[in-house]
Amino acid sequence: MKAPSDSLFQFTRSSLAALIGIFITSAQAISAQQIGTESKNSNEIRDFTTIRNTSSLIDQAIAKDLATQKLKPFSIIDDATFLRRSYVGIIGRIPTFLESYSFLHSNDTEKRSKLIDKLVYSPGYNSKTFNFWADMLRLKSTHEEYGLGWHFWLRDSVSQNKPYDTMVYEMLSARGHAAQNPATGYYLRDRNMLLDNISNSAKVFLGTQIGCAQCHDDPYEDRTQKEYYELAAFGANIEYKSNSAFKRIREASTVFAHQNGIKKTAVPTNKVKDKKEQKRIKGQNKKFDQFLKKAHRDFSSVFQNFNKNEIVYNNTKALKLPNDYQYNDGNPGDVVEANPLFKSIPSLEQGPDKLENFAKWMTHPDNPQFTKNIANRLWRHVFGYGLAEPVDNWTDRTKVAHPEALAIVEKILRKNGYNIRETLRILYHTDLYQQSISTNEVPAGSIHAFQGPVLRRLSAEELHDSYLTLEKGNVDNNENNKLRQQWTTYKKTIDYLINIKPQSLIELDNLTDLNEVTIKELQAKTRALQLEKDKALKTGDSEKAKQAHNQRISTFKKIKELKKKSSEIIAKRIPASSSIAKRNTQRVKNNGQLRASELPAPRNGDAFLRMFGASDRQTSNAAHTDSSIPQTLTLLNGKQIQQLTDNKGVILELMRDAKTPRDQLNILFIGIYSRYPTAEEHAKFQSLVSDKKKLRVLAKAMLNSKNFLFLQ
Amino acid sequence: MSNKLSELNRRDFLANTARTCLGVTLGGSMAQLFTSSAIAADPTTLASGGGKAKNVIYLYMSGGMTHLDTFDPKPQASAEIHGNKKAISTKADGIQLSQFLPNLARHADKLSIIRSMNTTQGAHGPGRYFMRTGYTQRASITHPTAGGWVNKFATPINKTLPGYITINCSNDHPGAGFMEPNLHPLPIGDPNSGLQNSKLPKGVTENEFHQQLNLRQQLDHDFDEKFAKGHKDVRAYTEMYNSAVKLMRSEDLAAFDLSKESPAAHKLYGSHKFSKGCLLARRLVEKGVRFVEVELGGFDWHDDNMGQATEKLPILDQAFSALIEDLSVKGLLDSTLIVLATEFGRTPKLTPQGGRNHFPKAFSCVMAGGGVKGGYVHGETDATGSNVVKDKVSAPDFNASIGHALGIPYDEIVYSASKRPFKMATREGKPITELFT
Repeated sequence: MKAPSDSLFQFTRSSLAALIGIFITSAQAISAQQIGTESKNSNEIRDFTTIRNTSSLIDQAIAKDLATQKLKPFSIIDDATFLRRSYVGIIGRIPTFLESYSFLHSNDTEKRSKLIDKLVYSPGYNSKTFNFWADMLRLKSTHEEYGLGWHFWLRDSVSQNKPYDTMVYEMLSARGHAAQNPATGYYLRDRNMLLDNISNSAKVFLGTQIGCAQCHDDPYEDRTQKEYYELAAFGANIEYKSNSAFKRIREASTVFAHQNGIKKTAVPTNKVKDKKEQKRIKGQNKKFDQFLKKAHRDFSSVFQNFNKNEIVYNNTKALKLPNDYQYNDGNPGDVVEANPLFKSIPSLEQGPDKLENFAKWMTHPDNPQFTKNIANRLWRHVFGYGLAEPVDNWTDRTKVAHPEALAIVEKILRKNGYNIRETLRILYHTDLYQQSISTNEVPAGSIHAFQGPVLRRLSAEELHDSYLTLEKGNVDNNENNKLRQQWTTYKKTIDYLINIKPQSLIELDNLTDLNEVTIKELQAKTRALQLEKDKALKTGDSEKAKQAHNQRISTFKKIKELKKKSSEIIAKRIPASSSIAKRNTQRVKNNGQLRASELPAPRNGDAFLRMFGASDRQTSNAAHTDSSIPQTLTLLNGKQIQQLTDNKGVILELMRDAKTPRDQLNILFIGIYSRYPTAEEHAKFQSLVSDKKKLRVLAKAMLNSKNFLFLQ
Repeated sequence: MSNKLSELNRRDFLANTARTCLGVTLGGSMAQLFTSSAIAADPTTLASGGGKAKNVIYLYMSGGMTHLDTFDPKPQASAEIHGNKKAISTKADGIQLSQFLPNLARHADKLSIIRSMNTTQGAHGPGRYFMRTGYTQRASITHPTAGGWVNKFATPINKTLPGYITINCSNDHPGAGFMEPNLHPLPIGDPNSGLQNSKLPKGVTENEFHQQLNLRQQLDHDFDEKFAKGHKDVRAYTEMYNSAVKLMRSEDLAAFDLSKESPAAHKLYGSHKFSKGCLLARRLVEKGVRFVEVELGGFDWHDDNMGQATEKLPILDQAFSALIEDLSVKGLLDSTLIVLATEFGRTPKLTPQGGRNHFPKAFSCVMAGGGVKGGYVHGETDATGSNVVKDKVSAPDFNASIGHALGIPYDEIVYSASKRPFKMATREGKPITELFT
């Protein structure tokens, strides 16, 4: 790995020593340029004075509200607290030693504003923002190939700063094959679970829960089951299969039939007078159809690996009211017409395409919940708590902490075209972002006054990435090339197969046929074993039944393996592809140097990220920061902390050139806590640093401490 | 733990006194010899068959387990309902199970099958929440699960192991809800790797470890001073560090280590993660852990219901049967309540894709061991499994029954920090006394 430009690794030991020398001998500030932390993107950064004017509108709105409650904003935090809050809050990791040092020693009166802008336009921002969306959208990249595509689509959308409404529109109107339109991942994620998908869309993009109405009228929210079904009807035409694959299979089957001398007669049978001739033609056509059917089945197996990763539109399909529908406004089995929630939007243009209508309605600026929902979610992302909570359950009774502030954020989003980066930037530039946190938690479900942000534990991803930064320096630029490679290979396979010439498909099928014959035999065997088992059970021979059962299970396994082999054969035929059979996306070589956003998700239940509450991607916003015993055991004894504090650890390496215990402790504190030790801490801990073993114990204790785990 | 004393009711007090008088220090697995039940249950509970269970193994089928292809088959219905799958006779007279559960059929004489479960929740998240807690999900509070209530009321058998452990459970598990951090479950991700990092790292001395704990407290002194009082999260970390250290020193750490089990035991349970979870649950229960929950995910069969049943149900069938056999060989079945729960059932009529959708109106749950009847079916659905026609059971009733089995006061009010009253049985839950012998 090549070291990123502003990490410690670009310094040789001697230049590092020289730097530490400056640090020790001179109290003089060194500018950001001198140590190369100035952002490369500084030309992109627009003047932040105008940004701050908008930010102050938000502060004024809150100040006004607070005054009526006889409350005041909390005091402004010091530089070190601001430094850590900004790095973790905006880019999802603690600053490196050098990043901290340069900020703490800068005399620039605008250094806070400049830091915010630098961070908002850095690659770390993309990583952190990706995590925000991935948790909200329940993005799964470990499950099937479409998930990889969706992962990169989201990753690229964030780094291009794609407008939010466009992002949502692309997902909700998505169709085609995942390889060509990876935004289809949003629907493929819930393949054959359209009703759940629709409930989830309402929850995620509108902050409205309609799940109850899936089965019955919701008495609390005054939402009927009919309304639910009318919303779901927008997706009624969705089917999860590939039309292009179907076409290729048909073409190849016809060619194959011709090659075998089997043809369909072009003359319609009713125009043939001769009875005998009519019968012959009928027979020939029937033979052709049968042959075609068989060939069709045969060739389909080549497409099995991706046939279902496509969204197509079937206009003949319709959504019907369920069999147990019990209300007066419809009968079971009635076809449901698509209808949006809430009151109608006059300026909404409806076309013939239901999915597009759905996407249009959802993202329409006049949709009463679309903008409000994202404004509130972004607020929560920045300040740790929503203006309205919970963010995914708006009702008529929802209380908003500062309605005017929320309205301002909504206005900003509508005006800047749902520009997420700019909107977040405005929020980071508020005074509120620089105010102290409350010493008391907000009682669940109640509104927060926002005299300052709320105290929170670092998210699992932030903790992971912060420990990583301590060990490897800044790795924000590292991408998961292997994962990207896997996706590219898959795409190439699909491109090849979707445009495959009939003759190539016939050849390819020949190669996989051997496996197929065996698969068919094995499938027959499983059926026979099932019968044998049933028979044995009837006669009470449980031993024999068990035997048949076990044999059957192992036969299933064999079938699975053979299917995998066929995929490998296909992959070999495709130019420049290594293998699509390598579907185990968990193993990535450079895992150790990748931020959480670059890893396939969800991780296993006992992986570091999941243990600390990373989302299992089952439900939207499932990530949590609750404590547990496995967490504290990991912090006390786990390899992560061991590695950070062994003799090769970055921190100890940094400290080696410092001359006095005082300097050593300074480096340790800046490295881990992003601040200088207090006088009291100097008095307590200085004596420990000259003893290697004691130093290690101290460093561990710091990494375990709540000062590290929590963000003030 | 300090606030636990003040909440001890009279019965607890008597139980504790009895142990003190016996002059035994209760720690480690020895403890189980001296406790008969969760708490000394009151005479009325005992009279109605409750109070016999000491431990619970709670198996959660996540995604909504089909009732029709498991515990409530409808062989007489049309093919679009039973999908040409058969019902099989079992060891219990008159009880049939689906063909997918041949092993459990052999143990039907030990099962209490509840075929009349129903719920108001048709979506997974809220459904799971309701089933586990008996309360509908609210923004303002997190309610405790049955395990949380058990951990609160039942005096610990083992003083060094947590009283409540979850294995492979999803992120949205409510745990002990609003209750104190020390009552929350210890989550195990992968039963095969057990409890990771429970030993001192190589090269670290006991003395250094002690020093580290000490230094951490000093470093956090100001932080705690400022935030501990007002923030439960902050206090929880103190608690979790203490619990972790206590656990590291436990004599019973080996309970988490599945390699201590014989190959035969591994074979009995099966090779799936869930199977291993059940085996781990048995080890933990043996060492006195009160409540262990094991989750088996992936029951949401909107398409190819039968294909998925063929793959998934043998796992459940084998592991559940193994638990029954294993616990009864070890003489623990009478004191261990095995519970099988899920959030809702599936639509009786198969969809064109051969799937079944969510169905809150009727589903099945099961109990075994722990003083419940064997070979018993409670409640009934109609000919197609679409409606409960007899003895409806709700999630609150189900939770009250677990409480009843353990003899804990499921009807006792506990106040949240926000001073709101809650009960294990909720406001309306009543134990199904017919389940008990």
